[in-house]
Amino acid sequence: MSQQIAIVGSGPSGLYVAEALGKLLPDAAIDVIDRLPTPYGLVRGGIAPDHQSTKNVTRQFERTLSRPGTRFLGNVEIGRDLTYDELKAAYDVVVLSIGAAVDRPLGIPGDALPGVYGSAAFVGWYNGHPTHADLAPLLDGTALAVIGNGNVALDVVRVIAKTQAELAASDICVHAGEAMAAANLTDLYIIGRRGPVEASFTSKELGELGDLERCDVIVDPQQLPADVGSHVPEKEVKVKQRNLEILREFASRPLGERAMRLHILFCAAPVAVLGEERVRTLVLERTRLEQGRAVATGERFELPVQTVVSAIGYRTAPFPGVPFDEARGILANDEGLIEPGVYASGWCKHGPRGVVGTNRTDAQGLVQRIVSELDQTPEHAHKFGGAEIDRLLRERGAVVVDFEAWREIDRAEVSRAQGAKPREKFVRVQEMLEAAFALPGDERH
Amino acid sequence: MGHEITILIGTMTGTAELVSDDVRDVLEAAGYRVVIEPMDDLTESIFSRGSTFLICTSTYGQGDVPDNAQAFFSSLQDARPDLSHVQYGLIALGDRTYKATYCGGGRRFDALLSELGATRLGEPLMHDAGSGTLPEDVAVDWVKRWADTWLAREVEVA
Ligand SMILES: Cc1cc2nc3c(=O)[nH]c(=O)nc-3n(C[C@H](O)[C@H](O)[C@H](O)COP(=O)(O)OP(=O)(O)OC[C@H]3O[C@@H](n4cnc5c(N)ncnc54)[C@H](O)[C@@H]3O)c2cc1C
Ligand SMILES: Cc1cc2nc3c(=O)[nH]c(=O)nc-3n(C[C@H](O)[C@H](O)[C@H](O)COP(=O)(O)O)c2cc1C
Repeated sequence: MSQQIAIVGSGPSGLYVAEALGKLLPDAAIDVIDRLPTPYGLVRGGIAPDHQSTKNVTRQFERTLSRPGTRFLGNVEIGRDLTYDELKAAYDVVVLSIGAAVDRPLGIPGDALPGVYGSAAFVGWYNGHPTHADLAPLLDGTALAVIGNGNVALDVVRVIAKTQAELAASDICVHAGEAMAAANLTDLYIIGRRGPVEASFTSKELGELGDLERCDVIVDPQQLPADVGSHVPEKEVKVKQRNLEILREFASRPLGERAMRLHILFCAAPVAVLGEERVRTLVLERTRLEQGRAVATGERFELPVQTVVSAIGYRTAPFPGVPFDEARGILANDEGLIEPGVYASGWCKHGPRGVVGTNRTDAQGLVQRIVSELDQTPEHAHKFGGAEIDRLLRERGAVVVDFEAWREIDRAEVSRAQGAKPREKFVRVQEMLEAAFALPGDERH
Repeated sequence: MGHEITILIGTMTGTAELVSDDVRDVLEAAGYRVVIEPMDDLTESIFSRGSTFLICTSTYGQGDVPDNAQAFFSSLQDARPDLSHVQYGLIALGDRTYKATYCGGGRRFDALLSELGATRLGEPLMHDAGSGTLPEDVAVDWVKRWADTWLAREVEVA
């Protein structure tokens, strides 16, 4: 029998592992399992709806999932439909690629008030992730703050600041597009504890803030150092210099008359969110930098905002049966090894950093290791794999969305899109299943 | 046996690999022998192969070669081998929204290989990810013409 492999999670890290394993072990049977009926993880549900070309990577993932020997088992959640032990019993190799989908909390008084959202929830809402599609964030105020200085924070402010025309060719979900169009926001803030050099923005994403149709960008030139400084690692110097140039250009602009203003604030640490029924004020404390580290100054100031989105990082959801690294918020692993035969890849392995392609590089290394360790498994020892899993899923009445069924969902989303939109996503699992099997919903599940 | 073409892949998210897979298929259908080498573990010794080369690389950072090509690129820069026997074609992937650094990864390889004495066959293909065309489609059309123009005669002889 051939090698039986399960990959849990069909985001970039899972699919790059599937691709590399498929190339190295052409006879292996590879099952890619995802709890959603739709594949591609954060490429669908995280990457900004107005960054369609970044989503082109799904073309490769389609090929990976169409490879003979590789199957997609969507709408199957480990922990709900199957257990970890069942996976280990059925497959020779299990790779966990479950991402990091839980927001790191702000951890300040008031962070649970209505009007405060984590970016996983907020982004999931506008990108149509079934878990967050019903978030209905409060956008009825005039000011909104995004806390965090990475690309996710830039995505959130940019998507909010864009006009409907600017989003016309995006795949922002219609419910979110309408809610944003109905909002009367005039002031957006993007807030970082540290300085412009410490921010992990990439230059293109930062630069895009300067091209918004209805939004002026405001930066205090006093907050921009003359130089990147000596604490910046060699390979990051160029990006940081470019970012400083972009920010200087923003700072030099005369104040415009656009309907919205985006204030980029550095060296401001959130200390509390105030409000009775909902957010009214964000309290911040100025920091000062010492070799790139933020040091509190004790000087506080307040921003009147009605919505707060925190984009300060993610944690992996603990996975029953797998030891968890609490400090780092990842599955405990040693260079990708969880226990013999079980591996981790991507964000659940190393935390939420890097671009899509980082997961590819990472997968190449992991797959070398998996293959060398598999070589030590005697031929006759291969397990039953997918056949056993299919039996369990049938017994439990699970509705499995295979790759063909996903293609049906995909086609339906593309064909119902209006105007220049590339697709109109289904945001409920039930709707997805109806599209997948072209059956009235109540005949299934 | 047909002329051999070695495709060297520099990629971050895998597009260049997908493009190379399709390019290989058309070249093989046209009778060439094709070898695909991701740049990850390459050294200058790859160029001692009696082969025509196709560099297929994307662009990252500030117009840089992708991560998997970096070690190979700097080893060529440092060792400065004589590549005057080498002929190559170039498929550069990029995105025009990056303006000044458009297709910088491919351009860097082009500049370095020329400096080391290698000869480029034909104009490079530059693909803009924001153009709405698929790089693999454009590359397949391009490589047919490229091979017909620059390699066909040698195939007849072989
Ligand atoms: C808001 C946002 C924007 C981003 N924008 C960009 C960008 O523009 N460009 C870029 O290069 N990178 C971007 N990234 C980073 C990129 O998305 C990540 O590098 C990448 O998605 C990580 O891949 P992953 O496979 O580890 O995780 P994920 O993509 O999260 O995939 C995990 C998968 O596992 C599934 N899963 C989880 N638990 C279970 C379970 N118990 N059973 C079954 N399945 C399960 C999930 O449904 C999901 O499909 C962005 C990230 C975020 C959060
Ligand atoms: C983070 C990032 C940086 C990029 N930088 C550049 C760039 O400087 N110049 C350019 O022309 N293209 C740039 N690109 C575009 C890619 O080169 C292009 O999308 C290519 O098709 C990706 O191919 P790959 O999947 O093989 O890496 C960048 C893309 C990303 C995601």
